[in-house]
Amino acid sequence: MSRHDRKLFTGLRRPPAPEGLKARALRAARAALAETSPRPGLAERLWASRRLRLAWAVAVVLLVGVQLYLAVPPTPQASASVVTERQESLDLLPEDPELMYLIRRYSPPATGLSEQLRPYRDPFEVTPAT
Amino acid sequence: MELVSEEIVMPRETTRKGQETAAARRDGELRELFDELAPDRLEALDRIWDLAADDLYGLALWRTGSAADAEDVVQEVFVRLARAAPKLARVRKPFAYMLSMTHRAAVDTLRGNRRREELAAAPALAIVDPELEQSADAAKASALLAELPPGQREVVYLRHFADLTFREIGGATGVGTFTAASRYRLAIRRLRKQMGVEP
Repeated sequence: MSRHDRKLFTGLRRPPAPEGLKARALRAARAALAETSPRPGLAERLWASRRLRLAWAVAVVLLVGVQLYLAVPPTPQASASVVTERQESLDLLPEDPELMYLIRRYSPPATGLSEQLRPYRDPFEVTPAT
Repeated sequence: MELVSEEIVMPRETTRKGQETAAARRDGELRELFDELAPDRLEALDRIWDLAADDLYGLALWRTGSAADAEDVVQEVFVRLARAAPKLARVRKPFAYMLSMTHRAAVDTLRGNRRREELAAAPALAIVDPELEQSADAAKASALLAELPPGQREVVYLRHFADLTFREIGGATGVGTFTAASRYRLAIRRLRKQMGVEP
């Protein structure tokens, strides 16, 4: 504000709020305040934050994505590689019953190995005496 | 445009810096009170009143041109403030926020009461100090202020009495910085001309 502008307002003061207004306005404000909901809790305040809501949504999407990724069955190509790998084991050690059992036990049904090696049982399994 | 450029490039004075500190202190206090305001913490309202009511009443009076309307506006501002209590903790500049609320409430009042646009008599927009030698000039200035359009009068009030920057005035009244400066320039030019004050 320039010196000339100040000169225009010399001797002028801002009028104060009237005496009775404070009681009237605060009474109305208190009534309005009583009608408002109580102060929100931590969870509500967190929910009110846009960034936290976004972070929560991203975390959920990531978790769902990882869950779906892990739940997808092996692809046919992967099954073929498993079969090849385990067939090699069978060729190398065809007489090892424990290996046969383990391959049967841990091969997915889709590979066909479990069916092929059905006769092989756990060599350490204790069978009840008859 | 002369006045506008003078306002913008003028270096801030020491007193202005001191006022800035006071304004920042008031904003800090208001921010704490806004954070405290809750149905079980009614005393915060009293302190908010003491810190800001005179400024809000002055703005309402200058905008509406009516003491009765200004009282209604200030009451409405405090009611709106109470209703907004749960969100007030997020307000960064409480004083400017309250001035903005006052502006909107005053505009609402004027919309609902068009007769106030035409002021029948000069209202007491400012108190004239009778002790001063220039009291006659002050009385004349007060009467001339009443003849200004409400938008211009409001900017003069916020600039001179509330000591806001044009940017803050623009924010409080919902117009651009240069619109606020332009309104101020027009008002001051008119007042200078009618008061016979040389630029």
